[in-house]
Amino acid sequence: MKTAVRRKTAINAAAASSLAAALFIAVPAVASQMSTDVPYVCSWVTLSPTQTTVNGASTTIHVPVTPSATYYFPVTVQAPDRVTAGATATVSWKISQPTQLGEPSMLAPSAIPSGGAIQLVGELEGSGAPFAGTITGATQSSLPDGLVSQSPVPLPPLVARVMPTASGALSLTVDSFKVVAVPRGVEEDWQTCSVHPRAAASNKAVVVINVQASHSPRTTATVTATATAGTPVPTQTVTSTITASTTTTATAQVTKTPKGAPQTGEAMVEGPSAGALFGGGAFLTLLSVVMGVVWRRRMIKPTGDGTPD
Amino acid sequence: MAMPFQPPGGLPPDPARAPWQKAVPALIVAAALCGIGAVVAALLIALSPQDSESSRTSMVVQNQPAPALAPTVGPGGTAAPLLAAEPTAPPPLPALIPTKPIETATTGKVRPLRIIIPSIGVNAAVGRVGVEADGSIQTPSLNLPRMAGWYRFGPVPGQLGPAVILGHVTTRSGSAVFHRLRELRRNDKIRVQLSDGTMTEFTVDGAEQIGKTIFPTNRVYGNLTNAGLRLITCGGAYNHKTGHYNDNIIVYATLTATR
Repeated sequence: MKTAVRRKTAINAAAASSLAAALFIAVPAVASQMSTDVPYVCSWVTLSPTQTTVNGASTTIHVPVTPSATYYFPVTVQAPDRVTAGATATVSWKISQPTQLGEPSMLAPSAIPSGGAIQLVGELEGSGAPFAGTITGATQSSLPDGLVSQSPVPLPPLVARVMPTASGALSLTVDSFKVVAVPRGVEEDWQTCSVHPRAAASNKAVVVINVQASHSPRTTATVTATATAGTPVPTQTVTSTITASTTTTATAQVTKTPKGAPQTGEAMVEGPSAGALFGGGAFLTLLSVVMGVVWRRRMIKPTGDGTPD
Repeated sequence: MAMPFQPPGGLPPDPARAPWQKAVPALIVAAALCGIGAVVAALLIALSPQDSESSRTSMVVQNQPAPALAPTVGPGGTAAPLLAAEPTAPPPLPALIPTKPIETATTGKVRPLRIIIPSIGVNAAVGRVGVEADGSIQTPSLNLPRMAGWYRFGPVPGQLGPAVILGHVTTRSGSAVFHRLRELRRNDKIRVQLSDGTMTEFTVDGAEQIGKTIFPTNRVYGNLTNAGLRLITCGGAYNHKTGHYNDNIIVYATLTATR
């Protein structure tokens, strides 16, 4: 009996150890990029003509309505495998128009003239000890040739930066986004999209960053497995310590950081001022005119006898 | 001495005239042309737009209130004045999705040779700079105003981390290699050619003009998760007392292509 319990406890401990190892070793290796089709529910505001009666007369008024549609956008999200707590990590993601046959694309409700732009504002939802909250990224893409009404809307890539404050696994999920048209500099919300409430976990674009402690060169995970198999068998505790060998200290990319600011400028030698140049030039011109007149008078002086004075 | 009468139409040259007398008309004409040229040059100087750095070379700014610090590094460009960001603010977000840094296996062998910035007409050789005895960063020789300097204790442009290239804005002989650096703005391209033939292309993320007393060391030299580039020169007012400009202009860029 005791032997069986010990075996079971050891198996549990091994399983827990494997789980811990997976968290600290395996996750960073696969966390760099993920692509999947994410179902989004997008809605927009439009004016719908409605018949109504005013003072006994039938008339048409326009009532704002909010229709919605579901799209399957391929989403790719990319982030560094691991960062140090306190350092910033750049996360980029791209939401593309649906590519599967039969899936509708998001179409432009109106035209954008040449020189206009499309703006995409997206959110990442962070969870985990290093960071919990929403990160927003925004990108504006100019449209030199404009955009034709009812054509697929170009969706520019998004980039955001996150600074985790503690060690652990940081999970970032691509969340809602908004498409804004900027025709001639005036912003106009087109569609607001959020992940479908019934989307499965496998249909969400998630990337995991392994955040390492900035001053702890070795990370130690302690896993305790406790097995209790009826009375009066005493409780036995097995403690296994795993040291993540892949953990590295944050090495400075600039090996020698200079002190202070660069002195990259020297005063130019000042030339003559515009006023002095103007005065000198005017004096020289006048002098040459006077000299020319004198010279000419001296050369052509008609004294009658052909001799100068 | 009697001089024969000469009609305006001119007569055969008088052999009795001294050679210097023959040169007098030419000298008068030359003087007139010089005078006119000087006047035109003066007018051009007076009417030309003032240069942000050179027009301030004689200015000494003292006791000015410190401008407000922006929460983040701005996009740069000439549309608005460059502002300084909070020293603790992170570098600006990449304008485009960063590309994978180049391999670091050749560290120590590869170095940047040229920097090309088409939007401001820079195509300059790149030397190497280190640190002075007092720990401050070296700058390129003032005798080579058209040369930029790569900080050799940082990454090679294109490798993971913040590569730093600096250049003078002015020298005694006039404007220098990074004279127009302040004009760079988000999405402008910077190309750096490496000695192994690789051409790296960076996209400007933002720029700032910040006082040297609050130089953002961490923002410039801090670790990155991609390949960055920082171009640094001087800006602001020239202080004759210190013999230096008061500010630095820093352009932040991210590697977006290699070929």
